Amino acid sequence: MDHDPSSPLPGRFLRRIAERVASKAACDRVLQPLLADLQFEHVNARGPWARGLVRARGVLAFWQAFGVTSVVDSGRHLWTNAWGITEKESHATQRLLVHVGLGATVVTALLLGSEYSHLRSFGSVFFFLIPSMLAVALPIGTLFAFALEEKACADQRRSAPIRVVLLAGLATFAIGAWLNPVANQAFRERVSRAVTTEFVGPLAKGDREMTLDDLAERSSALRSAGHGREAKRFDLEWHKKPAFGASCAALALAGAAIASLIRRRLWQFLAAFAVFNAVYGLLRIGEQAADAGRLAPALAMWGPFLLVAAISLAVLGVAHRRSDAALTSG
Amino acid sequence: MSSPRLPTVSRKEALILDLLAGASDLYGLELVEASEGRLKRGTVYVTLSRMEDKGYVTSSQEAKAQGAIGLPRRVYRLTALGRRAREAWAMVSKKLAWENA
Repeated sequence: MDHDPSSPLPGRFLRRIAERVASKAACDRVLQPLLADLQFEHVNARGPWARGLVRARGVLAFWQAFGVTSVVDSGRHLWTNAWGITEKESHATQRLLVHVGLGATVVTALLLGSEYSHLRSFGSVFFFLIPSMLAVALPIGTLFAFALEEKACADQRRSAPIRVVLLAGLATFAIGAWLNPVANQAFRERVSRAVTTEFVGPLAKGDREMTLDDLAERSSALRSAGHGREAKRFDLEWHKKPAFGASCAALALAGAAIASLIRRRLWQFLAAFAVFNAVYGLLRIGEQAADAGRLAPALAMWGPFLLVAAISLAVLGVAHRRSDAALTSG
Repeated sequence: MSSPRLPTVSRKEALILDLLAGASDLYGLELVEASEGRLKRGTVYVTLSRMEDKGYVTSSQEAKAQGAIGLPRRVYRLTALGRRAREAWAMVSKKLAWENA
C-alpha cells in the first residue's frame, strides 16, 4: 500500500451523512460496505489521477446507493406508518376515514337514487355513473365528517386529519382524472346502444369523457384554430379535476371551523349542509360565468374553494385565540 | 389453501450467485470487477442486502488487521439456500431456453 498518511481517506463526510440520515440497516449493509471498498480502492490506487478517479467513482456510487436506499426506506416507513405513528394517531385516522367513507357512501346512494327512476329501464348501466358521483361525494363526505367529528381537530392528533384529507383528495383527483372519463364514455355508449338500433360506435368524447391530456390537447387545438371561447369549456373541465381534489382540503377546513364554533350535532349538520349549498351555488355561478366568457375558468373552479378555505382559516384562527384566552384566564 | 411463496431470482441476483459460486468469499468491489460491467458500484450493495434478506448470501465484516487503515470491509459468501436457488435457476433457464430462442 502506498497511501500517504497525511492525505485523509475519502468517505468520512459521506459516512457521517449516512449515519445521520439513512436507516441503521441501510447504513450497515449498503453504505458502509460501499465506503469501505472505496477507501480500500483509494489506498491501493497508484498516483493522484487514479486516486481522483476512484474518489469520483466512489462518491457517485455512494449517492446512487443513497438514493435507492432512501426510496426503499421511505416506502417501507410510509407503508408501516400509513395510519399513524402512534396508536392514538392510527385510531383517529381510521375513525375519521370511516366517517368520510360513510358520508361519501350516503351521498353517492342519494345521487344514484335520484337517477334510478329514469335509468332503471337500461339495467345496471347506471352503475357507470358511480365514479362521477364519487368525485362529488368524497369532498362532501369530508366536509360532513370533519364537521361532525370534532375530535379530529384535537391538537395532539393533527396528523390524522392531514392523512385523511390527503387520501380523500388524491382519491377524488384520481377518480375525476382517470376513472370518471372512462366510466362516462362507457355509460354514454351503453345508453346509445340501448336507444338506437343503428349505433355503430364509438361515440366522440365530450368534455366530461376526456382525461386531462385529452382536454389540454383539445383546448390547444381550438385556440390555434381561433375558437378561444369554445376552448374555455375544456379549460373549465381541466381545472375541475384538480380543484375537486383540492376541495377536500378546503371543505375539511370548513368542517373543522364548524366543529370549533358549534357543539350540537344537529346544528353542525345543518351548517355543513349550508356550506355545501353555498359552495355548490358559487361553482354553478362560476361555471356559467366562465362559459359566457365573463370569468377565467381557473378562477371559476378554484375561487369557491379558496374562498371557503380562507373564511374557514379565519374562523379557526379566532376559535384558537378564544380557546387560548379561555385557558389563560382559567 | 394458499401455496407457499417461492423465492425468486432476478437477473442480477443470478449473476451474483454465479460469481460467488466460483469463488469462496468475495467483496462487493470484487463482484463488480468480476462482472465485467454488468454490476454497478452504486447498486451491487443494495442487491446484496436484498439477497441477504432472501437468505441467498451471508456477509461478515472482516477483522481489521493491526495497522490497517480505513473502514472494515464486508465480505460475502453463498449460503446453502443460495446454492440451491442457483441450481434451480440454472435448470429453469435451461428448460425454458427455447422460449427465448
